[in-house]
Amino acid sequence: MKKASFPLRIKAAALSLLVIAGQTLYGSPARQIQLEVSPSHPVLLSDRTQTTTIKVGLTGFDIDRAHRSPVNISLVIDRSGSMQGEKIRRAKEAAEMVVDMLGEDDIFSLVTYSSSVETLVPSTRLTEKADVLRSIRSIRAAGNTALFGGVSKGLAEVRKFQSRNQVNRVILLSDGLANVGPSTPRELGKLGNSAGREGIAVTTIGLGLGYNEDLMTQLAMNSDGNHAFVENSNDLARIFEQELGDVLSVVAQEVEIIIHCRPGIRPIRVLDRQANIKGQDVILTLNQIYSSQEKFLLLEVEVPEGRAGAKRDIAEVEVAYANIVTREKEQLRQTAMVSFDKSETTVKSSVNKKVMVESTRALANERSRSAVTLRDKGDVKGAESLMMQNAAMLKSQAGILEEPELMQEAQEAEEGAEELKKKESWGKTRKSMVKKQYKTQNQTKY
Amino acid sequence: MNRKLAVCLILITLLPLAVISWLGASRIMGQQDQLRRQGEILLKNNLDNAGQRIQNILLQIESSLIQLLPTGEPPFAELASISRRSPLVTQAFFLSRSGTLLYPDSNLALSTGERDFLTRTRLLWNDNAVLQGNTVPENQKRRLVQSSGRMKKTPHSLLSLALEQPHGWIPWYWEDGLHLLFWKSTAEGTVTGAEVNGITLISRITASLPEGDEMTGRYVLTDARGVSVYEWGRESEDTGTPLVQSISLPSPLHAWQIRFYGSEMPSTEGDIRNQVLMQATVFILLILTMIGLSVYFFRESSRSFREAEHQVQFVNRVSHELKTPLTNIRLYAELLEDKLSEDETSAGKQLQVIQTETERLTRLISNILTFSKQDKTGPKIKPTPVCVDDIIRQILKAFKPSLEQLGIQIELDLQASANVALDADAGGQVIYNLLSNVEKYGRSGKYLGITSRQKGGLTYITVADKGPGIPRAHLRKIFTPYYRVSSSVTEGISGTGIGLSISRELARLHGGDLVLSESRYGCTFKWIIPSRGQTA
Repeated sequence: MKKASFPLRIKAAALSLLVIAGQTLYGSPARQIQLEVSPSHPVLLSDRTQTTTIKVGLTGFDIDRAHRSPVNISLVIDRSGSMQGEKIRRAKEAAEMVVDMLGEDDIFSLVTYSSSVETLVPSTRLTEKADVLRSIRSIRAAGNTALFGGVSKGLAEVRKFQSRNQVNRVILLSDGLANVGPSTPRELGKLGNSAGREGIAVTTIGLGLGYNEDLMTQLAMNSDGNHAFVENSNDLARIFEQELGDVLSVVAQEVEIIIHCRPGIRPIRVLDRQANIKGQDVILTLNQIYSSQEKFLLLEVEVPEGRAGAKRDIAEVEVAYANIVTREKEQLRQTAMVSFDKSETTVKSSVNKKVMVESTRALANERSRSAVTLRDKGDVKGAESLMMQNAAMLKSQAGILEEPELMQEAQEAEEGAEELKKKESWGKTRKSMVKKQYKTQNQTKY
Repeated sequence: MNRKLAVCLILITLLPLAVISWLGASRIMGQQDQLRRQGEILLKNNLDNAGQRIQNILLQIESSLIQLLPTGEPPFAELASISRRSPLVTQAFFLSRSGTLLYPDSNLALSTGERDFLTRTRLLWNDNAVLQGNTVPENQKRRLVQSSGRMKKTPHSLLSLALEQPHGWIPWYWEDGLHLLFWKSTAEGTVTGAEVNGITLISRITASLPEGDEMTGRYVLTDARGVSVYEWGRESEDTGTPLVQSISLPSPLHAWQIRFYGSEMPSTEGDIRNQVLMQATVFILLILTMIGLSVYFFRESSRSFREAEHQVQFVNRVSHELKTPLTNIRLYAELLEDKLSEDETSAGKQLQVIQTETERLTRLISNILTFSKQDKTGPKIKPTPVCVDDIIRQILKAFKPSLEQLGIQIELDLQASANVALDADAGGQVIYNLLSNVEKYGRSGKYLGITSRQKGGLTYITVADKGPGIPRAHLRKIFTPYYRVSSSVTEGISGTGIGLSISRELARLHGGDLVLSESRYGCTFKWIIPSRGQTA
C-alpha cells in the first residue's frame, strides 16, 4: 500500500510547488516600479561625524509594446529661414516618420513657427493620417524664430486632450536662437518648469551648430524631457525614432520622491540634480519613469557620530507615482540604514561600488559644467584644469572601484580638455559637452 | 475716304472710355475711402478681439487661483505642496490678520525657492511699505511696481488693499522680468496668495492669440518695456512701418500693449483684391465691347463704302462701254440725216427720234460719268470760249420733238452772244438736265421759258416752267445727289436724282452757280456763268 501512495505524494508535492511558484510569479504584483535605496557606505566608521551618499533609484518595469498606452504628442518645428534646404527637408521626413509610427488611438498635433506661429495640425486622433502628412509636406522655411510662441501653442494643443492615462509630450526641433518673445534660458526654464508641473514633458532637439543649447537644456530639464544635439540633419530621423521609443515606453508618471532624513541627519545637497531641500526633507519630482530605465538621485547627508556596532535609520524614502498601466496611484517606501564599525577595512570592503561609480560620475559632471562656465568667461586655462581634475579623479576611482568604464570616461575628460582649447570649434564642442552633461544628469537613454 | 470715318470712330471709342475711366477712378477712390474706414473698424475689432482673448485667459487664471488657494487658515504643508506642484504658482504665501507673513516663515528652515521668494518680496511685506505706482524702468533694476485695479492717491499696504477688495493682483519687475502676486482675502481678515509664474501666464496668453500671417499688417504684443512678446500678421519687408494703433491690456498687465504696425489699413485680403478685380474686369469688358463695336462699325461702313465704290466703278465701266456704241450711233444717224433729202420727212422724223434718244442716252451716261468722277478727283472741265446761246439752241433741238408732243410752249429770249469761258460739254450737260427736268416734272405747265443775259461780267441763263413747282420743304434738298421729291408728280417718272446736283457742281466748277429762283408758280432755275470763267 505505501508503495502505491508514494508517486501520489510526489505528484501532490510537485503540484503544490507549482502552485506556490505560480503565486510567486503571477500572484504578486510584478508590474511595479523597482525602488532602490542604497547608501554608498552601508558601514560607516564609528565615533566620528561623516558625510555619505544615499542613492534613491527607480527602475521602470517591462511593458508589452503592443498594449502600450496611447500618447498625446505635439511636434513643434522651427521653420525659420535658417532651416531652409536640407534641414527642413529632413525635419519633415522625421515628422512623417513619427506620424507613421503612431497609431489610431494616439493624439497628434503639429505647430510650426518662424516669425509667426502656425498650428498646422490641431490636436487630433490619427485616424486619417493622409491629411496630417499633407500638412507636413506643405511646410516652407522662412523668417524669424518665435520659439516661445511655438512651444506655448504646442503645449496648448497637448492640453486639449491631456489625460493622465496617456503620455503627454511636446517635441521641439530648433536650429536657431529664439528671437521673438521670451528668449533667455532662464525664461524658457520657467516655461519648462510650468509644463513639467502640468505633466507635459518637453523634449528639445537642437539641430546644427546655431541653436542655443542652454535655452534648450533648461526647457527640457525643467520639464523632465530629453535633449539631443543633432549635428547632421541626416540623423534627425534616428533621433526622433529614439525619442518616440522613449515616449512609448513610459510606465509611470507624476513621480514624486520624498526623502525624509531622520532627525540628526543633515541633508547637505543633491549631487548633479536639482532638488528641493527643505529642512529634513528632500523632494524631487520627475515627469515619468521609462520601462527598463533607471532614474536616480544621489543625496549627500551628514551623519553624526555613531557607536560601533550600532545601526541607524538615516532616511525614509517615499515614492508616489501614477502607474500608466493600472491607471492607479501607487506608493513605495523604503528606509536607508547604516551601521557603524571601528574597522576601516570593513568600511572599505562594504562600499557600494555601483553607487560610488554613479557618485563619481555625478561629481565629474558637476565639474564639467563648471568648466563650461569658466570657458564661457574666457578662462580657458581654468576650464582645462577642471577637466584634467576630472580625468584624474575618474582614473583613480576607476582603479579603486574596479570600473573600467570610468577609465573610458577619464580619457574622454582628457580629450574634452583638449577640445575646449580650440577656439573655432568651441561652439560645437560646447553643444556636445552640454548634451553629454544633460544625459548624465538626467539619466536619459540617448 | 475712311480717314475721317476712322477718326470719328476713334473719337467715339475714346471719349466714352475717358468718361468711364474717370468715373471708375473716382468710384475706386470713393471706395478706397470706404475701405479705409472699414479697415479702421476691422483693425479696432482685431485689437479688441485679441484684448478680449487675453482678458479671458486672465480671468481663467484668476478663477483657477481663487479655487486653488485654500480659505481660512490652511496648513502650511498644503501651501508648500501647492508651491511645488501647481504650474501657476511659484510660491504661495500667507499673511496674518496683522499683516505678518506667516508662510514662508523666515524663522524656520526654508527651501531655496522659499528663500529666494522672501528676498524678492521683502519690501512688499513691510507694514509701512508704500506701494506706489511707478513707471517701468528702462533697464531692469530692483524696483517695485505696483498698481491695483483702482489707483488711489494715498499709499496702501497690501493688507489695506485686502480690506477693500476680495482679491487682486500686484505686478512688479525684478531683475529677470515680470513677477505677479495674486492675493485673496479671507473672511477672517487674513490673506492667502501666491507668486504666479509670469512665464506661465505669458505662455497661456500667447497660445490664445491669433497666429500666422494671414492678417494684413503686424500685430505685436509688447510687455511693459515695449519688448515684443508675441507677434502675428503679415510681416512687412521694411522695418520702418509706422505704428498705427495700440490698445492696453487689462489689469494686471495694463502696462502691456497690443500694437498694430502697418502701412495700410487691414482688410481681409479678399476685399481689396475683389474690388480692384471687379473694377478692372468691368473696365476691361467695357473697353473690349467698345473696341468690338467700333471695329464692327468700321468694317460695316467700310463695306458699305467698298460696295458703293464697287458699284460706282461698275457703273463707270458700263457707261464707258455704252458710250462707244452710242457715239457710233450718233455719228451714223447724223450721216444718215445728211443723206436724207427734204422730202423724206417720215424717215427724217424717225431719224430725229433716233438722234434725240441717242442724245438723251448720251447725256444720261455723261451725267453718270461726271458724277462718278466726282468721287475721285472731281470732274475736269476744259473751258474754251464758247457761245452759250449756241449751246442752248443745240440742246433744245434735241428736246423739240418731245416738248412739242407734250404741248409745251417754248419761249426763247437769248441775248448772251458773247463768248464765255465754258466747257462746251459741261455747259450742254447743265442745260440738258434742266430741260430734262422740265420735260419730266414741269410738263403740266405747258410752258418752257429760256432766257439768257450778259451783264457785268456774268452770264445769266434762266430756265423756267409753269409746272407744279417744288414744295418749300424740298427746296434745299433738291440739289443733293439722289434726292427726288416723292410726290404724285414724280411718281411714275423714272429719274436718277443726280441731274440737279451734277448741274450745280458743273456750274460751280466754272466759278458760277445754279440756283432755284423765287417764282410765283412753277420753277425758275438760274444758271450763272462768269465770263472769264475758271480753268480747271
